[in-house]
Amino acid sequence: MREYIRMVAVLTAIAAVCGLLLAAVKKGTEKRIEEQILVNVQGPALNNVLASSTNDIIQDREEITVDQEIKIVFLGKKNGQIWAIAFEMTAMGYKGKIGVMVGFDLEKDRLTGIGILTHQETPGLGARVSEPIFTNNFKDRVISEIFKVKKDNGTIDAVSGATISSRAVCSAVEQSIVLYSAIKDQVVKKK
Amino acid sequence: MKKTIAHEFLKGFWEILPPFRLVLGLCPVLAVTTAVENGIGMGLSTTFVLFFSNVIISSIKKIIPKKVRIASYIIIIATFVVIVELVMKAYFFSISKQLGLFINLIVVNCIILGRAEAFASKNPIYLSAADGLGIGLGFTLSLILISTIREILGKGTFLGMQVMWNSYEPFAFMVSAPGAFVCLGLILALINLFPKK
Amino acid sequence: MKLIVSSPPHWNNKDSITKIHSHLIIALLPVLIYAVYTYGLHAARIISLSVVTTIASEYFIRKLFGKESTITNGSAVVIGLLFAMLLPPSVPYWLVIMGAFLCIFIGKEIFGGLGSNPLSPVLVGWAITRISWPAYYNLDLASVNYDLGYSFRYPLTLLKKGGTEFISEFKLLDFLLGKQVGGIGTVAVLLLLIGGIYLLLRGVIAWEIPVSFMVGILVVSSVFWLLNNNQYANPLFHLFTGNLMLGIFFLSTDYASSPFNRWGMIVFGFGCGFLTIIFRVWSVYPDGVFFAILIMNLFTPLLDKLKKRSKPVEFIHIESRAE
Repeated sequence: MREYIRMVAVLTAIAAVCGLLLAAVKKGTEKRIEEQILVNVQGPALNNVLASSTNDIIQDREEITVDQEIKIVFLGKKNGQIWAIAFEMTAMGYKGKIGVMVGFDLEKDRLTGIGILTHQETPGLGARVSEPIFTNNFKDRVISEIFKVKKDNGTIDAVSGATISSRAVCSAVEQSIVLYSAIKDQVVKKK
Repeated sequence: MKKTIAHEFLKGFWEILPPFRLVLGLCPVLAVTTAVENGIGMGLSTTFVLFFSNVIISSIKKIIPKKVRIASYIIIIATFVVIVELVMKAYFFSISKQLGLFINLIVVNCIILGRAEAFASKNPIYLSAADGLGIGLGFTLSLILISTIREILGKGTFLGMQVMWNSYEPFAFMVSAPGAFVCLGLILALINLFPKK
Repeated sequence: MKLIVSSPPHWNNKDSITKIHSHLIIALLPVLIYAVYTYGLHAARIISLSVVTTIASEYFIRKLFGKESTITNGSAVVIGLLFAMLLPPSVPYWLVIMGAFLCIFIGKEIFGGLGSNPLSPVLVGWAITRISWPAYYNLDLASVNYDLGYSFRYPLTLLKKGGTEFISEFKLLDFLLGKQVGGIGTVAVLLLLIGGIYLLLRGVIAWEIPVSFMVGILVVSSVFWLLNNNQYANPLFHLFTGNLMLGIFFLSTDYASSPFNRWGMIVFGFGCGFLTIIFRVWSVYPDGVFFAILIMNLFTPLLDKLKKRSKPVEFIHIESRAE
């Protein structure tokens, strides 16, 4: 009996010490990891989508509440004026969620472009939605257009052999247009 | 034979050089050695985990009950692996993205559990530290060796820099999975040509 | 459970090994002549480079390993010839040398030389170079610069792209006469068939593998063809295109890497045929003959277990004839 108690006690103690240690490390690195992810995952797409901005886009981010959900919105500024915003939107692709960064020009109500952040699509097929040849489809388009693949009577050239992934990106863009219309005033007011 | 720090440290570089002499921990050896950068990252992470798990396990070896020792070792190893993972994500994001899941898989790297069970649980702290460091660095050197061969032949680069002539056509087989096996096999055969001592 | 990999049959009679290889060379000769006739010096360059490389690598590797030289048994020559035949006419010289060296080194000598290789040595060299430098194996473009008098499009790529509609221009008789593009020594279907029959008559290869291989191709492709004859080609098209005929008679019948008892051979051959069609229909590669053979090579130790149920095939009649 004593042996069992000892086993339980020692294991519990080890697990507790390890747990505490991990919690401390987690706490210590949390902020930096978040920043690293912003810089390395969102950063390249943002620099592309909000290309002519002069500010540090990742620093100038705001949390905006829509329908009790917090959405991180990145602001692109020129000469101190906000000219465009960008945010992430996800949609279900062929194998998992596709994260799409969508940028909007506030003055012209146009898409500035899109960038694919994360995906788990098939290499060589669905994964090709992240290539410029597909994402350029969305560059400088008026938001009132229909963003659907040509198979669904839209205007977007789907990546050949990857209709599902292309559709997912289109649906993310359409969703973000809805969101954009909802939050545009909030952003403009803050300006 | 008398055990000295120098001997315990040095044996990891030749006598029981992992993975060539021990033939343990082959999963990272085959999977991440497509680029030298990954090889170094993986090797040093493993060394860190190996060193600290050896030290900790050796220092509490007397209070761990025999029947739950493996569970205790795994908890300790897993803790250090998660620490490595978090620190890497925070400070070496690009490597951590390259290595991905393989950092977490250090937990099940047989070398680490093997050293804990075979060495750290029976020897004093200072010897276990020397053992962990030596084996870890030996492992790192082996990974660098394999990844150098594979990266130079398979991509024509070393640490991302072009080293082969301009018209060199990369021998892509070397950076594919079968190439890893062939490369490992050839090095194993070569090392076995030389005696252990 | 204990798994023992049984060793393939070894021949101790050096004379008969040399005889086997000289028969193989005789069987290949018409095909090689046709290759040189079609592609001229380009084919001659590939063939000679490949053979010289295999002979030199075998000589030096065996010297390095401290083993007696086996150059005179002709195995290196046959491997060199077969490897050259798989290549399109436009490959650069270094690829030929590299591939031929890998055939001998990784394919054969590493495992202990002739008779111990688990995979067909020729196909090991082919697979490694095929994966590494796919651009040079693009059979669709390889023959663009030659004035051949027939389509320079690779039939199997066309089939993959557009179904049977795209291949309606091809005639089976042309395939049979070698009027198609492909590896320099894989296109002359009729000559390969004659070479194969010669080997069968001489007792160098047994009938089981080639016949069951063909049956596998015909049966499986018929199934697809009957399901949808717009998308899938007819069985004879499959039989006469790509690398198939060379694979059937010369590569799948490699002694050490194929089973040596009757039922093992039949299963082996049928498996090759089955996998070939599966590769042609569903994989990204237009032709999967060699991958199919390599995969079946891996089953050889298992298929050799069938020996308790069936007798080993005695297909070496050469020794008695040699007296």
